[in-house]
Amino acid sequence: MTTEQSSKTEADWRRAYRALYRARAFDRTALALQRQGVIEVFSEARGQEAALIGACVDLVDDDMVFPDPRGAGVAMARGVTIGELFDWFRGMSYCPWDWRKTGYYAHPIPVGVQCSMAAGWAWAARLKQTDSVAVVYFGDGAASQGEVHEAMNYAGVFNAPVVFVLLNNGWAISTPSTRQSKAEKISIRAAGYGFAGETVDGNDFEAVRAAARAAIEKARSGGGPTLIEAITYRMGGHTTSDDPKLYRSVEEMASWEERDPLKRQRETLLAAGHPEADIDAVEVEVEEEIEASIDAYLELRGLA
Amino acid sequence: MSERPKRKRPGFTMADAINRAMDEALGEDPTTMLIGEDVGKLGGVFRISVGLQNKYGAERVVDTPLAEAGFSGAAVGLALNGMRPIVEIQFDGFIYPALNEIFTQVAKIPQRLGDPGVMPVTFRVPCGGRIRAPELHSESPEAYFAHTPDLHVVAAGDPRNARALLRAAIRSDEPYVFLESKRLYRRERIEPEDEVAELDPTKVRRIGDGEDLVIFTYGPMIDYAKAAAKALAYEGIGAVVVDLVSLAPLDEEGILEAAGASGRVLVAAESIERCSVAATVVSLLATKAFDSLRAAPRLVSAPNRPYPPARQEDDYLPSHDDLLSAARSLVAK
Repeated sequence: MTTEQSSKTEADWRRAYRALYRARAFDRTALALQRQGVIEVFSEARGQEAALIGACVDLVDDDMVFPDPRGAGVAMARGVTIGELFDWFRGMSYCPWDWRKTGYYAHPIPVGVQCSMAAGWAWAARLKQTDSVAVVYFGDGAASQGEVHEAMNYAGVFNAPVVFVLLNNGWAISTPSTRQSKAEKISIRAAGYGFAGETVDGNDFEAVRAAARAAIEKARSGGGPTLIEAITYRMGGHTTSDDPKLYRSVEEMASWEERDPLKRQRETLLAAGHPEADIDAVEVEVEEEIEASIDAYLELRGLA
Repeated sequence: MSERPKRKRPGFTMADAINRAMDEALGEDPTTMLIGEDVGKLGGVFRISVGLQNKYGAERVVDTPLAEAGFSGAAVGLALNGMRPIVEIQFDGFIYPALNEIFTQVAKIPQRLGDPGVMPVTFRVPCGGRIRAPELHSESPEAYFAHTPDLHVVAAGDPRNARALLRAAIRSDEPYVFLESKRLYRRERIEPEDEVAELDPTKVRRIGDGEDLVIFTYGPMIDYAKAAAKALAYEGIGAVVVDLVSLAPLDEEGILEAAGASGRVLVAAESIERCSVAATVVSLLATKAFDSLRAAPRLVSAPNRPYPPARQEDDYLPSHDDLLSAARSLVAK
């Protein structure tokens, strides 16, 4: 390995781990701010970070992400600032960030509509003869929406450069994924649209990243859409107004703690030979960054 | 044996006007597209887009899968990425699956993104009844759209202004629902010089003169209103027809001015009355022109029940005689 390659790998693992860890740290901070009344209702992504960040970390600036509402970590990876995210959760504006510049679209409601939007955006990218790609996130609940079917069918017919990232976290608020579909894997639907689909371990950052990178490259080179189903788990509530203990067991929740994607990625990095001190340094850096942004935000909104 | 060439009847119809408006828009701007069911080779079930795919190619005049929500959602994405889609809905009743996209995305995205010009989408919707069609092919859905903020809703029923009106809708950076009275596509044939070249799509349009009453209408009942005005003239009653053109927002100033002239108002529409555009015109007059009215306004529209089977539609929709008797009762006061 040349020095240049080695430093590139070094920068790459740091960049990826920073994005992953930032998602976790943001959630922790935002939850605290919600309890203090600084922001309104908040939805954590804890447990889903590997699936979220793994699918977007290899996009380029001209690509577009159509997010899932649990997308703060992805937003930051695309260049949305922490202050802009707080503004969204505080109810200051429906899209406080520059969606075109960041390539991170507004949060979708009702869930599902982001898929046909992404198919249309990607179709236009092809018509304009650019090589941009759209990545769209949606959940196992949204996957039941008729419009998600229509969107995938469209993307297939028009060979649109779009990657459908289905975050199957087991629960749509209190409804289990067994109530969304009888199929064991939702990814098999892709066959019905004439493109490839695969199910990956959504808590394995490297696995999601590899699948997404291949799908993004395929889309970029004219190969059309892909459906990636990432099996993951929402470790927190649906929102701060939710109490997951009312509908799922403590044992189930505990079993997923062991599969925490952050812990797993730390282990992966250690196993790959990255010194623990270097990994810790990334975490400290992120914690400091977030702390500074909270101070700046409270100041900005006259809440200090 | 060669096929007998089709003879085109002389004169310029509303169908010609709409086709030409799209032809011009596609010719002028490479980001303009027409998408919808059967709009390509066939030219749409009403043959409104005939010839356009040949001229502009299958990537700009696009046959879509049969899925209104999906292609309306795709139009949202196309617009977000710099295209200007014209979306043809095959029949009024088929727009209902797309309402989620129109209400929650098309109409709300400009505010959501703080960018009024981000959704240059035009939905073309054939509307109205009296064509002996199956269920859900004769709807008047305008009130749903008019009730939705940030959507422009305009109605065409006349070859004179349809081209300019559609051109204005397509040219606008804001979303439009363009309602086409399907019964009137080829009913009237005009000389090309009688066409309006440019118009303000937000203003009412006066048709004829008359000092005794005003008939406000739009789209599907324009010819009925004109026929009523003509018949009333034989009785010595002067009725001016005012085409609302823009159903949302309403041209309040134009409506108040036209109503104030005689103080006698008849509003005619094919839609049901409850929460309708016609009822909104009456509400506007009651709140802003009460003192200038000489009689309670008359509302002539369909009853509050679903559109009936074809053989009953003549009893369900307002008739020529309904308009005449309402007009007579107004003038008697």
